[in-house]
Amino acid sequence: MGLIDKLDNKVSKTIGSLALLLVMVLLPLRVDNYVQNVLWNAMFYMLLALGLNVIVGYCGLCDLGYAAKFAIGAYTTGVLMKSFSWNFWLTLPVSMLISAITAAIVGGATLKLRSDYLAIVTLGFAEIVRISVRNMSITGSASGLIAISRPSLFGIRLTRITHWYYVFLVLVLMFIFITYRIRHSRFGRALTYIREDEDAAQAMGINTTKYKLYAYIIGAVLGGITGSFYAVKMTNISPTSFDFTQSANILLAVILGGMGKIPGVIVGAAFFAIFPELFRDIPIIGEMRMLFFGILLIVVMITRPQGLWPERKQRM
Amino acid sequence: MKKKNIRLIALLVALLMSVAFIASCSNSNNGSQTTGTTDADDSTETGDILIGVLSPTSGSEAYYGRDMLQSYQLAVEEINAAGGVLGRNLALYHADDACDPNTASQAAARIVTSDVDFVVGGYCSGATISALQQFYDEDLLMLISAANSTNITALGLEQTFMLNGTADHGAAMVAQLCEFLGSTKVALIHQGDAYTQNLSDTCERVLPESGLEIVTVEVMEQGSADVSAIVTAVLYSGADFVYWCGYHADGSNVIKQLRQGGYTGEIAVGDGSASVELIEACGPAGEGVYVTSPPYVGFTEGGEDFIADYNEMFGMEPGTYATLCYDTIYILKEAIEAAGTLETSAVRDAIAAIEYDGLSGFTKFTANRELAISNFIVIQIVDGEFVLISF
Repeated sequence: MGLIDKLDNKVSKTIGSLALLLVMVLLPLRVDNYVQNVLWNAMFYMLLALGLNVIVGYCGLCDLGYAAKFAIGAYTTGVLMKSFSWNFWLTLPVSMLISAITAAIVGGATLKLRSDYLAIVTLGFAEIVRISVRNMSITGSASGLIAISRPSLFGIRLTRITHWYYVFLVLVLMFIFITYRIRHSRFGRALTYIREDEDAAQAMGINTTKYKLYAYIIGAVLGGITGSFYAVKMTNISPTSFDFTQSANILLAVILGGMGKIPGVIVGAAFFAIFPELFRDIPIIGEMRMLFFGILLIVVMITRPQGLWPERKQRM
Repeated sequence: MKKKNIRLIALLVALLMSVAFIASCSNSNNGSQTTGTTDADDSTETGDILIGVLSPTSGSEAYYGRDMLQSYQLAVEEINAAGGVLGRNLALYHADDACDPNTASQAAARIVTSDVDFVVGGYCSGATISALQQFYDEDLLMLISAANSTNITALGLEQTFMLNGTADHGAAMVAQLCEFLGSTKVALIHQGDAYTQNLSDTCERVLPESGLEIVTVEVMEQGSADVSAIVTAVLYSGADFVYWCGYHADGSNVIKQLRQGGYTGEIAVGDGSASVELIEACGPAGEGVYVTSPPYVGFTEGGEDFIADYNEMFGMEPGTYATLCYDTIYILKEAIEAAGTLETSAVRDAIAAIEYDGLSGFTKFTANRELAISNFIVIQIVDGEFVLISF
């Protein structure tokens, strides 16, 4: 009985995800540029939310400056392509490396302390990054970098929104795979343990500082990759795209969807990106759509504080 | 077991709904596309000429975005009432960029998808730049009415024209004003974003050429309440002329605190603060403040009729960029008529060659597709009202 139940559940889940994937793959054939652009935006937030989910959802750390991680990726790619004429694909490993190094510095200094300190430090670090890129001439100061060239993939120059739709779809699938594997590894279970009870985890022999640092670095690297792709998709980046509101937005998507649960985080990001767009064309409400969105968020948080699609506690 | 069945059924229903959703999407899309193509067929004959408008009608700059849209509407109605362009009516399609690059990218996609023939608008430089790439990809011509960052020129997009005076024009105006007032030591304050920093940098480069000394350059974060550090720095620098490069919302705060701090020299503000709201927000502290402004309606020839029409149509006063936006549509009309076609390259060449004497002054473009002759004016707040200063 139990086995059949499990199988049943698994089959329906697989069918469901495959169907959703099929819909996503075929959608650009049917819808116009605008819808693709909105969906691209949703997938962009999904990537950020999936990356932040490793830090916030899996490990229970509070990161208030995730925009900095994705700014570092975006600016690394932007500067290398603009000032040093690098190929986009070669900038990716560099931006991953720089994201990892900065995360190691920030995390290494604070993760030995109680997790609360990380929130303050990440908040400060995000401001440091934003104001630094605003004042350095190599990052184009306040105007940012413009006319970053578009990369090619398999001989196709990625200029149309449809190209980017598929690039980001593939990225989302990769991020899901990576974070799913992390979640279900020994490392992932250790992170959950730390999240649920840090002292107990330490007592069981888990090096909590090391594990938290790893989680933080992985989250930062995922953010860096997203930033790199964002830079070449938008072709221009400026400090205003990486302010605190952006960090708050990403955190909001994670918490709204349900911390720690991949489908939940994806739903949260999609909800966050698509909902305000749906309201845009409705008269009167369209003008006040952010107000309605805010009210809706409050209602969701009151009625479902665990998020739209939270993680179920595993029973032993 | 039963529970699981219900779950399976629910899943199937969800699947069906998503399929239906796609089907409906495709239907509506096919629908709009077919009407789109028939429109395009018509476009050689009698259909409306559709003009996309990109301006921020939500967010912090919503006032300007709405003013721009209304000025376009006024011009379009006038032209349609007078028989249209090439015997066809003009129509507008507006998309809100919220002054944000991400939203602007989506707004641009909406405009592109709507099969517009031309695009006008552009208030925030950052948002405009983000949208321009998409217009370029679709070979759409854009007339930018307000945004004037040198970065737009730097993109080198050949079917993009800027009607507003550039930062160089603004800085030249400041130099003339300093000479007129006999000021020699200039303090610049900007807000660390693309537009205000661009203006400040340009002043820093241009003003010393006129023998002026830049004694300090300060940055004020947007929305910060306490500017005492900046006031102290300005007083300490011994400046006798303060040029505020930022927006009016924070500008009033700076002006008030400068006066409270005992600063007695001249104060001037850039075109980002050229708004009647500045007068209200400043109160008595605003008396005597100079504004280097775009051709503000009321100080331009033929402005009275425009104000009356605008008032009648929208029940409010036209704003800072109203004249530029109004002229934008007329320049587009002239260019289309000169080209005799809607083809982008032909209209582009016509605009490049245009010499138009309109409400905002004389419009002619440089080889960089920027405004050739400065249309900036200097106005001063006297007794709670703007007064034109000529020198």
